[in-house]
Formats: sequence, structure tokens, C-alpha cells
Amino acid sequence: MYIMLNRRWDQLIILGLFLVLSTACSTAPYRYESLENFGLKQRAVTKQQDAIQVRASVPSMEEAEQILGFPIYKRGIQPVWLEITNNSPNRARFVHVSVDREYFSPLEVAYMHKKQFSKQGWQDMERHLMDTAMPRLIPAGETRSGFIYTHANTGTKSFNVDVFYSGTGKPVYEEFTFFVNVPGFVPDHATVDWKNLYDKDSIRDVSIEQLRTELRELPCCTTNREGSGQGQPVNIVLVANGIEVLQTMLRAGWSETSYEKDDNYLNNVNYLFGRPPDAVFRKSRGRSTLTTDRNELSLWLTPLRNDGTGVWMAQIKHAIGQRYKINEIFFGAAQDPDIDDGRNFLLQNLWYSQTLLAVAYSDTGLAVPVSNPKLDFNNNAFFTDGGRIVMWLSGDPVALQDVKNFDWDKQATIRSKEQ
Amino acid sequence: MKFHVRMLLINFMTIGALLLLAACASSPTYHPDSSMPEGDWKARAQSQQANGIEVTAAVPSAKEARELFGMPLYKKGIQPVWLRISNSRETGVNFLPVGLDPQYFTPLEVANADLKEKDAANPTNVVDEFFIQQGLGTLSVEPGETRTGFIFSKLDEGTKAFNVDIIGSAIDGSIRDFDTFTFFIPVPGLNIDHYNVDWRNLYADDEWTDLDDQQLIEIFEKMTCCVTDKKGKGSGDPLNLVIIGKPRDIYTAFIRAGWDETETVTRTSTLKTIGSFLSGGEYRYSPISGLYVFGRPQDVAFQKARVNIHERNHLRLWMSSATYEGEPVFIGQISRDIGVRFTSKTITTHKIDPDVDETREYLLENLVYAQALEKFGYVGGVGEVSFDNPKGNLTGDPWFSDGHRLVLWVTSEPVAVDDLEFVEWRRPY
Repeated sequence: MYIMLNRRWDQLIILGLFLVLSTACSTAPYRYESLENFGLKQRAVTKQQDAIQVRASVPSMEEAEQILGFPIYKRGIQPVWLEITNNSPNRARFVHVSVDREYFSPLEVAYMHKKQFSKQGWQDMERHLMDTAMPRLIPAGETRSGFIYTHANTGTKSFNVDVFYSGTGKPVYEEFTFFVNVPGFVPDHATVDWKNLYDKDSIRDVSIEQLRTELRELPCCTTNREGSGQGQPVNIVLVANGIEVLQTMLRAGWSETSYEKDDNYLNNVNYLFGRPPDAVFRKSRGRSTLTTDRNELSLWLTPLRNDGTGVWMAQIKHAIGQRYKINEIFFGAAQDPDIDDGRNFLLQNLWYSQTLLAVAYSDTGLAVPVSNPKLDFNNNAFFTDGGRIVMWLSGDPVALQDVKNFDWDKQATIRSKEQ
Repeated sequence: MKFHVRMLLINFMTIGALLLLAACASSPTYHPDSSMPEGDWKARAQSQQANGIEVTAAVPSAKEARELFGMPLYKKGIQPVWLRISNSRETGVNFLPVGLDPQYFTPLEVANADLKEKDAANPTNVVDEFFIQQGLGTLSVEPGETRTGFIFSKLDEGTKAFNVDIIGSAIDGSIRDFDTFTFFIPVPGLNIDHYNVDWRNLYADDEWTDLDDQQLIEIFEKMTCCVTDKKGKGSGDPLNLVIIGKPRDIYTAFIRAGWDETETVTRTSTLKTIGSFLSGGEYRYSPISGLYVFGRPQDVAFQKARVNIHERNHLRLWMSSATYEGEPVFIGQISRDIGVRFTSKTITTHKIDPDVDETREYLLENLVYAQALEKFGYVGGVGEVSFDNPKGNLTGDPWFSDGHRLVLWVTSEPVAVDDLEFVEWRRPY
């Protein structure tokens, strides 16, 4: 029996080595499926500006593997399919870096995946990726299509497509902004029954001046599931309709999330208006050696409307220290106790992504000094100047200097060093 | 399993040793000492003034930052930037740190960079008043007020380039104005290659020639297609760039477009390269091997790291003795590294993207979007090389090209994307 076992182990080891070796020098030919077998073109989002038409579509992880013949998402790369029609009398140029500042080149993608294939397979793959790459130039009156390889993100893919062409005199510059659904991902905001969040009677439409007063009546802070423990202040208010909130956050570099609403989630998450967040977005930091890199924004729709537009309350958590549970609610060893920084960061983040129409300062009614931090129900320390920022969002880009400032309250300066 | 780990380790050590040899062998002959003294970091502060706002900025080096904060911040990829903002206006202004670094670190994030789960058990442990005091506090600067403190940004060694954005408002609070102060502050600690180039004496006075359009096209189309080795032999990567501008403008333009300067090869830098080679991590300033034009290695090299050391873009420039409208003309070469491979010539080298035109066009877009380009055009000179019949560089990597050199007029003054000019000399497409 003992010998038998050993022999079996030997066999397993030999089999294992064989497998390792066989994958190291693969003899597999390169195979892929035709793009036409997938609904990419049919479901493409189409935009037209003057003489240029752009269509865009993003294959899911599974589709991409079949279309390209290798699991490209596993390398953090997401192909975006584009089709550009140039109806101008001159040739047009599509700018690759407008989609992703650090896009991957077709032969780079091929090189990353070459080990899966034989030498001939690699060459075939190179040829195929070159042939199916989105070209830069679109001759007058013609259409070109193909893939550009971008950094992958979860949820709806948002990107720009910039096209230049020579007009009379100066070159014409068209900028298209896309928000493309990627099959297979259901963001948490898609599962909310928006229509029935509030009774018709409880929804109230108010003017900007009334909103100033009404905001003071809203709760300062979140609670736990039972409503027995106090959470952190809700120090952000956004005024925008749902689709604008989504597009604004995507444009500012945030990603959608898809939390499983199990007990573990519900017992730890912050509640407002008796419910967990209606939508959660995340933003990670790129090049950093720190292990914690995430901001998380939780949003709740309020029963208030400002001149017909939705009013949302929000709070930001920013993890510090080393991360110990990935993809769970507690994504860092601790949260940054300076909760004003998250609030101020969002203000700037929206400002620089040109999605901010106006700003006003209000307060939560809860100021907590640095010298005596408070604990929330999850035992996170926090301190705050008590300020709450109200931001009106815009679907159309707003220049940095065109942001309006409503003179409500003076910006809180409780924490200034001089005091 | 253990066996595998040990084998891997031995392999890595061998590769490391060989790399060391390879790097030493190609070491260019630059002066080893840096001209930036360490010690008094505030003495290196720079000031700018506009519309009643004065901004002073200084950047402590790795050593200085460690002394100031008692933590090796640079090792954690964090660089403190000290600011003093004085507001002599009659209305308040706001400073926006996102303009300096879109992903700046908060003081408490820096203070807790080493925080572990067990340390977080006492939640108030994370509140570190020393670090809070080092920050700027609030972002508003009231009339007559001066605010000082550090912003913690991601690390850029060599020259730190950043903006300080100030938003102002009128007395009624409705109209805002936006002032941007752009700083380029050299930080000691790296031996940057171009600090050591004696630009004035590269050529004798009578060697310089100012060219008109036709002469520039003619001379640069006749110039050698490719780089050579030290002995002037072989034919390597194609010289697919012509860059027009003063060294200072070129360096400002590339830094603004997110490129990193390159350290001269010294013992420390070689060790740093090996470290990041083994870990696959980022050493963004690693020296790059010398390739030869005009009988000398590149005068300047820039690189742009992407995910890790294996994936970066390299760019080498040589100053020619030609000028165009009084501006120096450089010839250059750009390649995109797509992985590491082993070769008989340099043991390990970066595998480059064979589609060198793709990389060339990437650079064009990169500089345009950084608003660092005034004009561009093309000349020939590389010679057409097809995908099916590629040429090889000095380490045997294949490349193919439409045969054109991209001519770039770089600028240190921002140029709006739609003000870019195309000079119709040659059309590659």
C-alpha cells in the first residue's frame, strides 16, 4: 500500500512536470471566433457629431476570450471595439490616447499571450491582432473599425473618442463621450426599485433657498442596520438626476460595484433612511506602493427634489493601513479618521473632471475636534469640521472657472492650524 | 515546492549578476557627481507671484524627508511637497491639491502607511497629530493670510513637476478666477544624465549650421537610418524622431507629458535596476544602455514606466549640429518595451514592439495631449521595412516601419490641442 502510494505520487509528479513543460512550449495553434458571431456591432452605442460617426461596443470577459482566442481580461486588459465613419471631405485621425492614456499596442498584447501558442500560432495571432486593430486614419468618405486595448475596469465602461480632421483653415476636433454597458456585470444601483423608494406624497420639490433649510432637517449621520448605533456624518449632498450621477462618477474615474447583499454586508454597512446605500462607487489609486488605495462613495436618494432634480446624500470612506480583506466592506486596516478630506477630495475630483455646476456649504450639525475623535458603530475613529458640501452636477462639461458658488454658509475652518 | 523556490532564486541571482555585468559594460562616460547638494531643502525653494497670490514651493529629498518625518517616505512612494501660499487679495481663495497630484495622500494615510490590522485594534491610534499639523489644514486661504504645510504626493525623483491651482472668488462669491502656478523643482538624490551634458561644447562654433525647410528635410532624410553599437558598427533601432527645441524646452515638455528622467549608470542605480527586475516593481529612473549616433551614446534618455519595469517606453536623443530657426535639432529613437527576453549579446534585454510606427504615433498623441507640442510633420530617412520582412535591431528584435521620421516642435509653453499645426512635408500614410 505504502509503495503503491509512493508510485502514485511519482506518477503525479511526472504528470505535473509534463503538464508544466507542455504549457511552457505549447504547440497549440492560434484559434479565434469571428466577430460576426457576437452581437458586438448590433449592440454598439452610436454617436454622431458633424461629419463623424462613432460606434462603440465592449465585449464581456467571455466574449473577448472567444473573439481573440485568449483570456485577455485576466491580464487586466479590456478590448474596446470602435467603428468610425468619416463623412468629411478630408481624412480624419482618431487619437488612441483619448480612449486610454496608456493603451496597449496590438503586438504588445500578442507578446503577453504568446506562451499559449506555438511559434506559428504566435505569428498568426500577431497578424490577426494587427489586422483587427483600430487604425488611426480614416480616409474621406470611408469607415474603419477595430479594437483598441485599454486597462480593464469593472462595470460600465466610460471613455472618450477624439477625432481630428482638417476643415477650412483650422483642424476640426470632435470629442465623443461613451458610456457602454458590458454584459455580465450587474451594478448594485441596477437592482434598486427606484420608482418605489418613496411614496408619491413624501416626495417634495423645493427651490434652492428652501433646500438650504431642508438640508438641516436631514439626519447628520448614518446608522447601523438596527438603527441603534451611530455612523459617520453624511457630509456630501449631490443634486442631479440618476443618470447624471452615474455618468459624472464614471467620468471622474469611479467604478460601479456589485455587492452581494448578504447578512455580512448588511450588518456592517451604513444605513440612511432605514436602508443600505442605493449605489456604491469605488476609486482606486494607480501607481502606489501603499497597499490601501481605495475610496468608497455611498449614495442615498433623498425624498427631496430641487426644481425637479434628484437630491442625494453621500459619504466617502478612505481606507488607510494595509488591506486585509479584498472585496469586502472592510478593505483596509482602518479608515482615514479625517472624513473632511474625503469630502474635499470629491469636490476637487468633480471640479477637475468638469462635471460641477455649483457648490454651496452647509453643515451636518456635528463637529468633532481632532483632539477628541468620536467612534462610529464599526469602531472607526473620526473627526470633522462639521461642514457639508452641496454640489450641483452637470452632464455637459463645465470649465474650471465657471463653477458657481452659492453663498450659504462660510466654509468651516474649525480645524485650521492657527486655532 | 521548496526546490522550485530555491531554483528560481538561483536563477534570479545569476540573472542579477549577469545584469550587473551587462549594465557596467555599457556604462556611458558621464561625470558621476550630482550638482544638487542635499541638506537645506528650503534653500531650494522657488517662488511665483500672480494676481495677489504668492506661492513658494520646496521638495525635500529622500534623505531630508526621512529626517523631517522620521519615516522613509520615498521608499513608500510618497514625496512631500512643502507649500507656502500667501493671499494679499481682499477675498478668500482656495487651494486645490488635486491639481498638484490627482491622487495625493492624506496626512493620516502617510502616518499610517505601516498600519497593520492589530495596530488598528485601538481605533484612535490612527489619529497622529504630528502628521495632521504637517498638512495644510483647510484648503482656504483668507484675505491677508499665509498658509504653510506639506502636500503628500506620489514620488517623482529627479525633477518634480507640478501645478499649484488656486481658485478665487469675487466678493459676492459668484465669479471665480483660476490661477495655475507651474513648478519644476530639481530634487537631489539621482544622477540625472542630462545634468552632466555640456551642451555648449558638444560641437565647435564653426560646426553649427542653421537650416531652412528644404535643407532640414534633405539633411535629415540622408542621415543614417539607425543607431549603431559603440564601435559604430551594426544597424539597430531606427532613428524615427526629429525633435526641434532647446534642451530646457524638451525636458519641460517631456516631464509635463509624464516621462521620467534617466539616471546615469552608477553602482547604486544598477543595484536599483536589479532590485526592480527581480520584483517586477517600478524603478522609473533606471539607466538605459547606450546606443550610438555621431559616435557617442545618447545625450538624453527619457522613459515612461507603465505597469512594471518590463513595460515602459524608452526614448533616446542626440543633439545634431543643425539648428532650425535658431533652435537645436535632435535626432532620436523611441521604442515600446513589451517584455524581457534573453539574448546572446546583452544577456537580457527588453523585447520591443516591432511596430515602431505605432510607438512613434503614441508619442505624438502623448505630447499633443500634454499640450507640449506646437507643430509636427514628417520626413523620410528610415527606409520602408515591411511586416513580412522585418529588420533586426542590435539585440535581434525585429521591427518594421513605413520609413518616416516624425518631426516634433516641442514647447514649454502650453499649446491648446486644437491649435496644433501640421507641416506638410511628407505624408507617411
